[in-house]
Amino acid sequence: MTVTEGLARLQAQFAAAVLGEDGAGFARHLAGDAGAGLRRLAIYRNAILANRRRALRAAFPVVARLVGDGFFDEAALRYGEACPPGGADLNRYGATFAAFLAAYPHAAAMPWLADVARLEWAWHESLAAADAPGMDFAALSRVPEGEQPGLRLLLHPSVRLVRSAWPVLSIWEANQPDRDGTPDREDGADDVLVWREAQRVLLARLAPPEAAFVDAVARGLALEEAAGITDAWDFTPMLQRLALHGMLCGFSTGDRVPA
Amino acid sequence: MTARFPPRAPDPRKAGIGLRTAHFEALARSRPALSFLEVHSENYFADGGPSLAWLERFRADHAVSLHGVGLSLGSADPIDREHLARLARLAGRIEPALVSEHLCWSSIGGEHLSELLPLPYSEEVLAHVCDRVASVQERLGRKILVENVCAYVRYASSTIPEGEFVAEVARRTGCGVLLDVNNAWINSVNHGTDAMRFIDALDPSTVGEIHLAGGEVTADGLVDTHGAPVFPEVWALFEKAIARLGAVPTLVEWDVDIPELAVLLAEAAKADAILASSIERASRKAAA
Amino acid sequence: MNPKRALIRSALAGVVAIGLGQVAVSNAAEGEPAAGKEKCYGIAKAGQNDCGTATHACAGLARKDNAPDEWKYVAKGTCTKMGGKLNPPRGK
Repeated sequence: MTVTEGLARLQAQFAAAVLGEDGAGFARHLAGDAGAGLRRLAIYRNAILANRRRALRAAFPVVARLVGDGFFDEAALRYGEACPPGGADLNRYGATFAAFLAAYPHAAAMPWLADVARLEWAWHESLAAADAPGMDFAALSRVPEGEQPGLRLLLHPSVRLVRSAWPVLSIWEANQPDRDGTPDREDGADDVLVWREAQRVLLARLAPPEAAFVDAVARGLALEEAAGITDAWDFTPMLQRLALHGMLCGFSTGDRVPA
Repeated sequence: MTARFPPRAPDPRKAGIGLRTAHFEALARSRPALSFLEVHSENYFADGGPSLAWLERFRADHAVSLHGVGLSLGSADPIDREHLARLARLAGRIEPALVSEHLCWSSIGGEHLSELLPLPYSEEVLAHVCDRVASVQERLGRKILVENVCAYVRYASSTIPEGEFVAEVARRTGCGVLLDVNNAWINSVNHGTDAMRFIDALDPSTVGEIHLAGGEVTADGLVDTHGAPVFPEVWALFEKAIARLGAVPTLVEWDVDIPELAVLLAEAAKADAILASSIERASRKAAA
Repeated sequence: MNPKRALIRSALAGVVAIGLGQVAVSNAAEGEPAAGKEKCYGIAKAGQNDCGTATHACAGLARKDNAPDEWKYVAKGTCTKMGGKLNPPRGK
């Protein structure tokens, strides 16, 4: 048996003892009083679960407020069992929490909950997304007219689009710390644009054609195709809005994917 | 690579504090003279955004210590190269005075347990840890400090006293030691060992930083919570430690129930006073 | 020139005018962190890893059974206020 095989076995047994059911079986690996050792193993169990729970609470404060502490902690525990962290950085733990909630039977009565979680994760990702230099507008102005329809625009790395059949932005806004939790709308879909501007994450509700246009640009479609997503709709104001708020950061012409 | 920041080193006669989001505004306003600021490396692994912008701003005025909680130096899993790459990227960006990690493990079979778990202290594990410390130092292109952790359980397979184990990692790899006086104290109380024997086993020239912290007394022993003032016994042990080691950059850790900046600065000032009197005693001794 | 191409041309001209500062622009995405411009530093979240070196003291509270109290599955937050009121999406 190599060193790492022996160590791997011990560490796997430790993990099973702390997170699984077989605590007592680990006693043979411990020095000193076995009873005290096993009670202290529970310190680790508690710390591990608390760290995971805290990380999720920090990333999903609105979901936590919506369901309350008991429900959230139980969901966090079950999520940790189903999808334990695959990396050491807890700031990146929770990417699949929305998908977990969508399938969580006890959340079935709140079909909008998973989409609220998706919006919170988009906010969370946007805050930590890469910085990027702004669009070179002088270069953009020099693109010959013939190449303009083929332009592909590159969105800032912090831009996210969250599309929901539920009024998730109203729910999100109503559950910010200074609000009492009552949403201003109780039905209707929300398409939410998420981006970072001057180091703050901002959210805005988009009209359906606006969302379709942003989605097309984000997917790397040429301007002519993106503009044609919805007929008889002028994309100019939306495009200008993207420029105004620093959401455009590059472009390419022809078939080249923007870099 | 050209430096983006003025080189700054911690002042061994002064304590530093942990940099926490809750204090960003207050620190930026008051700009207190501090030996150094310490952050948890992983909290600045973002690709961009405000956390890094703030850290760069503080780095312009202060020496920064990157203290990692996730590299899992003692794990049987392979080193997470992506995690290490992010640490290297952050170190390149911030130009820290110190980079430290824990002598522990936290992941197995790809699952991360988000806690600093204790290692058995054996010859085999010592060799394994030394290999990994060496490979981390090579990847980062710099020396790191390794910290002794709080071990709530001890293994039957341990054959080397903890102090000797830590000292040997430093001797074999050239890394430094981050001596956590609170962890040494808690282990000695929980397991009936002698904290000063642990400290005496270390080579003073390798100790590059000291941590102090508060904990809690429970039915199952002392617990290292980082959420309370430093125990009086830990202050006393700190005094004895620096009498042996000389003045070392010191940090009071406070990570949960974070108090007002003033409370943190007052704890740091206590450490300053002990460091100052130790230096004075040493110079009187030298003069006599 | 077909109408769509004309629209693209005029839209891009407008974007360039915004970008080159011929039209008033709000702060750029990266807001320069210059001294004295505190407002450029937005919200940095508290770091999730800060608890990584600390340990919770309440060891006895950890539950290991798989049959938790039923109340833990009942949402007690603000959703109970709007739970019944939110209408299902139309056309889905």
